[in-house]
Amino acid sequence: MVKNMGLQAEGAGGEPSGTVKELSKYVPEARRKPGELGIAAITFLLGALGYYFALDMTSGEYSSPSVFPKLASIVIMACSAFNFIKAVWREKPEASLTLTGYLLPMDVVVVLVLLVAYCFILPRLHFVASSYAFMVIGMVYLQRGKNIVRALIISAVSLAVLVAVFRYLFLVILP
Amino acid sequence: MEQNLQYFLIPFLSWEMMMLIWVGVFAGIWVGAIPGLSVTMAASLLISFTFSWDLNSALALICGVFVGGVYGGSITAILLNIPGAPAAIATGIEGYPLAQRGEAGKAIGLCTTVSVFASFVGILALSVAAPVIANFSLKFSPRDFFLLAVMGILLIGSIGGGDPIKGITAGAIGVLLSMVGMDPSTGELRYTFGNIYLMAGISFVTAMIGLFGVSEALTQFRNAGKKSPKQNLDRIIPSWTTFLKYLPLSIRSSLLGVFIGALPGTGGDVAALLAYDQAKRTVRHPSRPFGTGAYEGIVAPETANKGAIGGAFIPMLTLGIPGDAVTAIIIGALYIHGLKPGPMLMIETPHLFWMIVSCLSIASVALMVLGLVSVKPFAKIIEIPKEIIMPVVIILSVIGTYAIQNSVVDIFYMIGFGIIGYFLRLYGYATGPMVLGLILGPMLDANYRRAMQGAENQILPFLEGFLTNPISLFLTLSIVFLIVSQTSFYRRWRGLE
Amino acid sequence: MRKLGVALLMAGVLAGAAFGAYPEKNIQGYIMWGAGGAMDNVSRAIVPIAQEHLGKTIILQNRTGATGAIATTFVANQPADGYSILFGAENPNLYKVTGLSQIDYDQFEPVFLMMANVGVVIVSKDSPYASYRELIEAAASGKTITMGSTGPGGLPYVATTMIEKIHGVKFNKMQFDGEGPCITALMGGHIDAVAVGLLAAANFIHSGSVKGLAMISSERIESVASVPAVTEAYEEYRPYLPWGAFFGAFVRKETPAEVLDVLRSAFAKAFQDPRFDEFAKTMGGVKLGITGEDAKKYIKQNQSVAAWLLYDAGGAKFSPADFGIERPQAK
Repeated sequence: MVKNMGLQAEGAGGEPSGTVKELSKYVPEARRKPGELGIAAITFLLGALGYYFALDMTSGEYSSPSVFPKLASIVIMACSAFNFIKAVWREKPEASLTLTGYLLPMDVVVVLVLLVAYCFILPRLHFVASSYAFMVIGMVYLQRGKNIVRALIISAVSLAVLVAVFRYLFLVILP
Repeated sequence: MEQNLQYFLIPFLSWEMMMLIWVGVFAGIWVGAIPGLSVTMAASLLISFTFSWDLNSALALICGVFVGGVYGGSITAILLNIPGAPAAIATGIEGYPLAQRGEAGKAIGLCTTVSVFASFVGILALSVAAPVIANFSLKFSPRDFFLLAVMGILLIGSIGGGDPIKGITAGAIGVLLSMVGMDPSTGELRYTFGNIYLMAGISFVTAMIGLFGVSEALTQFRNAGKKSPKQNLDRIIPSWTTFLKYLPLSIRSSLLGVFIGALPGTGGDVAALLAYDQAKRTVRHPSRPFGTGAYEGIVAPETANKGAIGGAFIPMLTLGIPGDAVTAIIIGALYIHGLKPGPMLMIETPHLFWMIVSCLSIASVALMVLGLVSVKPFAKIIEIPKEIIMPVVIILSVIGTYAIQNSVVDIFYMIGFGIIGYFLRLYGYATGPMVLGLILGPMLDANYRRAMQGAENQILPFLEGFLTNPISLFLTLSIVFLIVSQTSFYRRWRGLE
Repeated sequence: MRKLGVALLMAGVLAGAAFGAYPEKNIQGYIMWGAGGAMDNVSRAIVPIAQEHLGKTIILQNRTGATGAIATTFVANQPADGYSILFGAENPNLYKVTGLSQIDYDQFEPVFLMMANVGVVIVSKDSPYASYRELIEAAASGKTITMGSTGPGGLPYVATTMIEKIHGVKFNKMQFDGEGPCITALMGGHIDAVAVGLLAAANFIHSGSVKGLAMISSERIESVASVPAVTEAYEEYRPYLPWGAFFGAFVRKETPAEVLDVLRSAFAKAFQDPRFDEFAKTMGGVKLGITGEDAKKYIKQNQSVAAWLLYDAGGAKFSPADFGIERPQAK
């Protein structure tokens, strides 16, 4: 039990602002996070757009296809407004915490760039080459340039297993 | 009776069938564990593959894959927080925190044991009460399916991650996204903007892989320095006392699973979610608070989705109506092999019924052995440093997504959902409710509209149905109870807080 | 990407012309409906036999969505080399009038039409309606009859529209996402009647869990001979018949003739195989077995009936006349 407590504390301490790991135990904090108002505004906008486009759908009866889209949109708008107001009430975020700093630490940025690049090269280089590149670059970067040979081998082995299972067992034609 | 016993013994007397069941379970565990590969896919592939075999062997293999596959989905949910299948979403809520505490072995061990138990409950229900349950399940009207979906939606309160309003926001976004595409009952195009790929709708498995898998990987990169948890693998098989302690919950949840599984069109996913919710509301002193690794939160969904296997066969074997997607494929297989699934099946080919019962029983025993043997190698996976495992997880998610319908566009969707999920998590919006909304949205929408059409689009007769039909009344009252039981007043009164 | 496609096409044509070696590699088969449905069953039943005659494997995959428009569009964008086969039902016939897609069977060449599916009006076994006439008269007298239905273009939808139009009645409709769920709801007593394909209903009629009131065809069907043809009660149906669903295999129109011949002969041989016969018998469907011009004519007739019915009922966005679809002629 003591060990568990330790782990939990570690999970909480590893983050600049609260627990991201223990998501199931989200505890509201006194200060709002940078961009929290923004996300509430975005979800509100999504609800508004959802409602706007639902106006084009067949309506007029209680069983029309537009009933649920409208209902869901209204719920989104109402909840977003609530989230927004609640966030405004809380104190401003710490000045040291910038929006990009909070949202996009360096590692995440690199992985996101890799993901976008992956989407871009996938149709051109096909699955095997682009996935191998993604895994190797990802592993090497995340290990800060160490163990390059290990990354090359592990990527090759796991890719081989995946291709064997999907291509030859499940007859999936890879992209 | 003696005749039935003889039929039951068919697989025991054939080495070939025995072996095929074991192979099926083993393959099923892996198929289930890989996100995107589903039992449904495996079964439909096996149908083509076993075309020239005799039916008994084909069925033995498919039963094995079915049982193994439902189990396999939970492994990845516990280890990586990526449910291998929607039926394992609830398991991940408690299983993943347990794995992070170094108790993955214990969690999977418990999951295996109760799974086997529940699977036998399902088989028992199938063999003694199939006609009764099947006829009762027919009585469920669209209104009742709507109520069941509402019950599922209430689960947002349990998995919303602390802030219920944010949970509802995410859930409603999920419902809205589930509306995209061609409405299956009217053919109306909703939110498609003339794009053919949007017309197919957003597959919730795609969304699930992105929202759980990729967003989990991205979140992990935020704390790069943190070591992967060391796993304690001393004792993986739960003791008798532990097993007995969870026995009442296991029985309750597996029966719930049998029943939900027997309803045409609902399967292990809905069963597991409802069972989790039910456990969270009724268990007085969980081993840990729910959401942080409560064993009860693994027992309930795992027993429910295993019970649903036997349940799904009930309407299929007695009425010829599939209980879920896998049994729908088995019906197809029976046609191809020249049998007539339907009410005549039991009369014309009674051996088939008892043979399936016996194949499922053998598969459950195989699951016990194969499941426990593979606990240690599986648990070792999370000890791999995340710098290495996470890129592999992302590629696994990519190929799994693609395999669902061989569509590159789905890969982009999946990655998009991963990125959205990552941002939402940072602001305390849990991704679980969004997936829940995506799964239950179509069920809510279609059944509400059918119920309304049944009442000729009149509000009063529509509402009246909730009170006059006994099944609807029972479900309505249950929902009222569920809502009341969430209030702190009730919880204090019952000593839950 | 397009260049690659053209190159592949050229390569395919050259290989086909020069060596006559089609098929050289495995063929992809795309089924437009999900696993376990009638389309899926028919495809998975004929393909294993057909590939014995082809000498290469046809890898089947379900590519579902938008009543088959996803699969249709996908195959239409693959090279026309015979290595991508579309396993499709009647649904694309309505894509243009419903505005769903501009790509329909006009861009395909039928390889083979395997089976037809005839509509049958069924009621539950405890239903008060003993005959089709009683059901129609009850509806005409103003009694509310709840019919199961599906989205526009599905067999139940078109059949129900046809019945409403011929008799000038109006049903209360409850919409489901397939024929299977319609039958389930009928057995549970949640709807009064439904018109579905015989393939889905045959076994339930045989076992007595539902009653067949009328086949929507001009003569009785052998496998369910006890169910009268609709024309026995009402002659007015004749101009619309024969009408029903069909299940076929298609390739792109530009596919070389040699390739098409190889495929056609393989499917024709499979179609005559006793194993397929047996399958067709258990399913309770009507074997079709037509190809070439006959198949095209069959598809056109089906399209003309369904498209105009849909349009007259207000379920179509565009007039069939815009696409040169002729109104069905009285015979």
